[in-house]
Amino acid sequence: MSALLELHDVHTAYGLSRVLFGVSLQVAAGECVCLLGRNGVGKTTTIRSIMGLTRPSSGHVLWKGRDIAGWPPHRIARAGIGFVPEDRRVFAELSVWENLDVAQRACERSGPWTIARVYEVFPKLQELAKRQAGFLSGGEQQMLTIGRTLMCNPELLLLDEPSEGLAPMVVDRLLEQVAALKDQGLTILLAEQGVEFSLRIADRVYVLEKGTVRHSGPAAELREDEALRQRLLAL
Amino acid sequence: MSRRPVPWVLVLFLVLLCIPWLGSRLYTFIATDIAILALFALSLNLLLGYTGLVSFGHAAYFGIGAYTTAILMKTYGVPFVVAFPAAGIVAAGFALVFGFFCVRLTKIYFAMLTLAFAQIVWAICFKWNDVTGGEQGMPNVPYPDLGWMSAIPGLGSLRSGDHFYLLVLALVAVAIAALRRIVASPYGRMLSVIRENPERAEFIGINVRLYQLSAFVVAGFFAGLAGGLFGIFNRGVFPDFAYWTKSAEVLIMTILGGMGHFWGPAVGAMVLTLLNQQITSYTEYWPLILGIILIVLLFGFRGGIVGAVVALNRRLRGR
Repeated sequence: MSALLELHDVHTAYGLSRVLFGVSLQVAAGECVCLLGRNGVGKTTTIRSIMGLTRPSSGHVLWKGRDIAGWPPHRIARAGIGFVPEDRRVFAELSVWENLDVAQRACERSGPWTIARVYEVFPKLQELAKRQAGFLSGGEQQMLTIGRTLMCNPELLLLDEPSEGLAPMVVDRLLEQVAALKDQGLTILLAEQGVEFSLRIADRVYVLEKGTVRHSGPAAELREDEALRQRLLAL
Repeated sequence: MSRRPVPWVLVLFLVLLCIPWLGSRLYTFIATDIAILALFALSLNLLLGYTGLVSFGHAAYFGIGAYTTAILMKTYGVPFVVAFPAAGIVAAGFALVFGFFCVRLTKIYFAMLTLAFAQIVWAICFKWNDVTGGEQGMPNVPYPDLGWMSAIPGLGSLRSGDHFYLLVLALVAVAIAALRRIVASPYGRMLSVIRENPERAEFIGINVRLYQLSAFVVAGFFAGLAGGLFGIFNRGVFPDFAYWTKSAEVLIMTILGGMGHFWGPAVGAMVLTLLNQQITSYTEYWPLILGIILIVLLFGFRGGIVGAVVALNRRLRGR
C-alpha cells in the first residue's frame, strides 16, 4: 500500500517547548484517519506540522512520496492539502461568497470544486451568500471554512477538532456532511477529542499520548472493545 | 422608484475645479498642497489599511519620485510628460528592491527595516552633491510648460499657479481612481484577507510575501507620483522629503483621517494641512497641539475622523 501522506519520526517544538517526539503515521488515498487523544498530546501540532504552519525540527513529511517538510504553507495548500483549523475562523469582514471566491483565486488548483458545488453540499451557505461572514453562527462558520478549503480542490482534508464547541444537532449534520465528502473520494485526516464523533466516521485511528503514537489500529476495534477504549483514552 | 445615489466624488471634483476662480493665490496654493499630500497618504493606506503593513519609511518613495522628476526636468531638460511617470516608475523600482527584504520580516521588524531604507535614501540625497545637490537640495525645478492651457477658453485669465493646480488635480484624480479600482478588485480583496490574518491567508494558498511585496511596489509607485508633483509645486526638492519626519507626517495623516475607509487618509491630509496652516499663524507650539490631537484621537476615535463620522451617521440612522 503506498500512502498518500506519510509522517516519519516527526519532531516539532515551539521554541524550547518540545511537543512532538517522533510521530509516524500513514494515510492512504480515500481513507478517513483520526488522531485521538486528550488535550495537549500534540494532535493540533501534528496537523500544523503537516501544513507547514509549524516547521518540524526533524523528520519527514512525505506527500505522494515527496518530502514537503519545510515548504511554506501556501505551497503545501497548492500541492493539494486543505486545512480546516480548530478556531474555524472565516475572513470576518468578507461576505460568504467573497470568502469562497478569495479561496478559489488564491489557490489556482483546477478540479471539480466550484462555488455552486460547495452550495450543493452546504445549501445553507447559498442562502447566506451575501451575509458578512463574521455574523454567522458557529456551525455556519464551520461549513464556510470547510467550503473555503474545498475551493482549493484538495485531495486531503485536515480537520482540526471540527466538532468542538458545536451543539449536538449541529455536530450530527456536520458528521453527515463530512461523510458525504468522504464518499466523494476525499481523503480525510481528523484530529478529535470527541471519541463519539471520530469513531462514527473514521476507518483507522491513531491514539496520541505525550507527543508520540501510543496505539494505532482500525476504528472498529475501538468501537467494539470498550476495555481498550477505556485503557487508551481513560474516558 | 429607485433614487440614484448622489455621485459625491464627482461633485467634490467639480467643486475643487472651481477653486482657481476664487481668485486667491493662497487658496490655490493650499488646495494644490492638499491634493498632492492626499495622494501620498492614500498610497500609504494601501499598505497600512488594506494590507496591514506598517511602513515607517514611506517618505523614501515620495523623495525618490521628487528627485527623479526634478533631476530629469532640471538637469536633463526632459519634458514633464516623461518626467512625471518616471517618478512613479523609479520609486516603484526602489520599492521592489527594498520591499524584497522588508516583507521577509514582520510587524515591528518590518517597520524598522522600512525606516532604515528610508534613512539610507535620505543620506544619499543629503550627501550626493553632484546629482542631488546635497544639503542644498535642488532649487528652481522648472514648471511644466502649460502654455497650452491658456489657449483653452476660460482658462486664459488664470495665473500659471492655477494652471498647475488644475493639472495636479486632474492627475491626482486619475491616480486616486486607479487606487480605488485596485482596492475594490479581487486583488484588493486578497490584500484585505492578508491583513485580517496572514497565517490563514497563507494556508488557503495565498503567497503572502509575494502579495505584500506587490502592494509595497504599488504603494511606492503612487507615492513616487505624489513626490514628483510635490517637487515642482514646492519649486525645489530637498533631502527632507525623504526624512523620517516626513514618513511620520504621512502616517499621522492616514491615522488622523481613518485608515479603515478609502477616503480617510485624504481627509487626514486635508485636516492636518489646514490645521497646520491655521495654528502656526497663532502659535509656534504646533507640535504640542498636534500631540494633543493625536492623544485624543488614539483614545477617543480609533477609526479617525472618517471612522467617527461613519459611526455617528450609522447611529443617527439607527434611531
